Amino acid sequence: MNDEKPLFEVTDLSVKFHTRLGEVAVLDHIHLNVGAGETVAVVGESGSGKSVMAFAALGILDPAGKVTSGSVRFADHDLLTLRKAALDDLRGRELAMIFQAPRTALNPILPVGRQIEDVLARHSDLSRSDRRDAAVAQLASVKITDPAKRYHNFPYELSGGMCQRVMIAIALACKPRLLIADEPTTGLDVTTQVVIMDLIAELAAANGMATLLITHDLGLASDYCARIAVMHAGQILESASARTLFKSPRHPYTARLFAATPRPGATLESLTSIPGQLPDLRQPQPPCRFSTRCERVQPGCTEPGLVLTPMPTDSAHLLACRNPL
Amino acid sequence: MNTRIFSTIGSRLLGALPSLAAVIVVTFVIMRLLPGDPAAFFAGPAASAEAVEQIREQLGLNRSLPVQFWDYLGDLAQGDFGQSFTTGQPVAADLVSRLPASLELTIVALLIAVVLGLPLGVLSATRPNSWVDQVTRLVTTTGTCLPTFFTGLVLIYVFYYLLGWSPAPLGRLDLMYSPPPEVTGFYTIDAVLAGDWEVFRSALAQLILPAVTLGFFALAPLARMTRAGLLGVLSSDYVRTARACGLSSRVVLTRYALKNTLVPILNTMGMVFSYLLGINVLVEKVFAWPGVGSYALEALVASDYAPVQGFVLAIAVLYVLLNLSVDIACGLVDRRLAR
Repeated sequence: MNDEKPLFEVTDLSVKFHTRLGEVAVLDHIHLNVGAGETVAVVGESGSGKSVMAFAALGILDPAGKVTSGSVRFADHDLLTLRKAALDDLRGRELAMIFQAPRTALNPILPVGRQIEDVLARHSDLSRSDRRDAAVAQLASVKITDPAKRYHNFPYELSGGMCQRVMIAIALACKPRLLIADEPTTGLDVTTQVVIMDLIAELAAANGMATLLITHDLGLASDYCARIAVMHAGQILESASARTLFKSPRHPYTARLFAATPRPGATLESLTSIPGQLPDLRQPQPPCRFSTRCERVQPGCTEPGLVLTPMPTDSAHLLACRNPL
Repeated sequence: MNTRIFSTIGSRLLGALPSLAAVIVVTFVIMRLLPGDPAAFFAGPAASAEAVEQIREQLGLNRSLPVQFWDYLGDLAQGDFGQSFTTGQPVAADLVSRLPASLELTIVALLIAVVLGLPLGVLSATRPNSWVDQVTRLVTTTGTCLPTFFTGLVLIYVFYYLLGWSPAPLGRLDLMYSPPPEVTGFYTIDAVLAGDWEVFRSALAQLILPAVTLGFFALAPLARMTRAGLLGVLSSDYVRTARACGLSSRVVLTRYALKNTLVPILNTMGMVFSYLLGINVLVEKVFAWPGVGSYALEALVASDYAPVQGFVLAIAVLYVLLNLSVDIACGLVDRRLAR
């Protein structure tokens, strides 16, 4: 598997935002890859830059954000240098994304079935009536009951969970090779969360689709993904298979994150919070942006040249730390 | 669906009755509170005290206010808006003959504002801080701060006096022509219906300057609201979704962004239309336009009660109908508003 090129590869990606309060280095030389059919999670606190990475890859970054280094490759395409028309041919067809807050992610004044049809009209040669049938079938595939009737509903007539199902139906309408799911269950109640995640996993397995799950929930990530990348303040600190990461996290932040994640049998007292908060990215940052919050910080941590490197014992386990556990 | 629209219209019209009643009372009272004595005005400066008193009696102005109001209500109930002292005509007839002139002017002005304002708003929202945006900002700022009568006078000075491109600003038609046979009361449309192109040209030439004057004023709020609304929608989650799905820029802009901006735009159009009805009063005066605005203004100066009351009532009814149609249009665009 290491020999063939991954389906989706983020290399050395940096993004800066120009704000009224100065320039913010939101992403700092990110590396990440997702193989064909693989399920990968990016885990980190809110504001760590997970969504920005996805938006940059899909070319839907806010105009204030600029990619300052790196590349994003999908199959044989360099997404960051692709012409808009060529990018539009990929987006929604081979590369799709679902968002948090599904209700606001849907057009409020267009029936949901028509929104699926719009994507089909863009990416397929289906006739109008075929598109309509396909849209209804797509609603049925995400297990919406009475799809022919729901086709005519507006987003405000549906629950949050239903809206996320519609969003999934839109994203998967053209059977993409990669789905980027940005906090797909945030704002949904716990039982709906499980149903939605199971639905994504089931459809991904059925279509051989790779999934990049962006979440703040380490538990969710280890339940549904084979591999996890841990992100903090715009840096990937550690990346390994879910099992390895769970059993023997090497980065102090990963260990802290596990200690802060609710798990079966844990009491409220046994959960510990991570000290400090995300650093102010308008200020110049040390090579390791976690060092200001880290209890294992040592003088060497301020030296430049920190990179994500494979562990000698396990080449699939990447780490960026000078004083690992 | 259809029955619901009709019941909505019915309940909205019923709901407007209290406002119309208030308009009737308030205009009646305000007219009587204003200084000026219609009897003295009509008797003329040389009239004796007895003559003034006699006219007052003829006009029914010697009776107590409640009695006058009661008579006024009784007349209104029969569709009688009273008699204008200045024109000697029934007010209702005067309004019916003059309203088309005002409406034609206002509607053409609104059309000019929409045809120019919407594209300017769209261009400046899709290219913020570009030269189009700067031009729009300049045009909307001047449009808002220049008084319409001033704009009108400048246009007359440049296009009639200096360049001579425009006919004399004296009403709806050149004196050479007689009005086309009345169908809609809009001279341009009636001339087309009659197939009389010379009259059409003349009516259009007379219409352009006052309509541009009004349209320039109406352009500003429309362009601004389009820009602001569209900017907000363009940064919305569903536009981001549409882009992430690879939908073409045209589809994203029209089906996803512009359609969602339509509700604030429609509301602004309704608001602007009602502003224009008020501002008409001045522009009609500047261009000697025989509409209801100049009619009411002349009546007001003469303390001629009935035309002013009739004018305010007619505008109020127009306003109610306008708001109703705006709300219905908004409900058709966004079903959440139809409930």
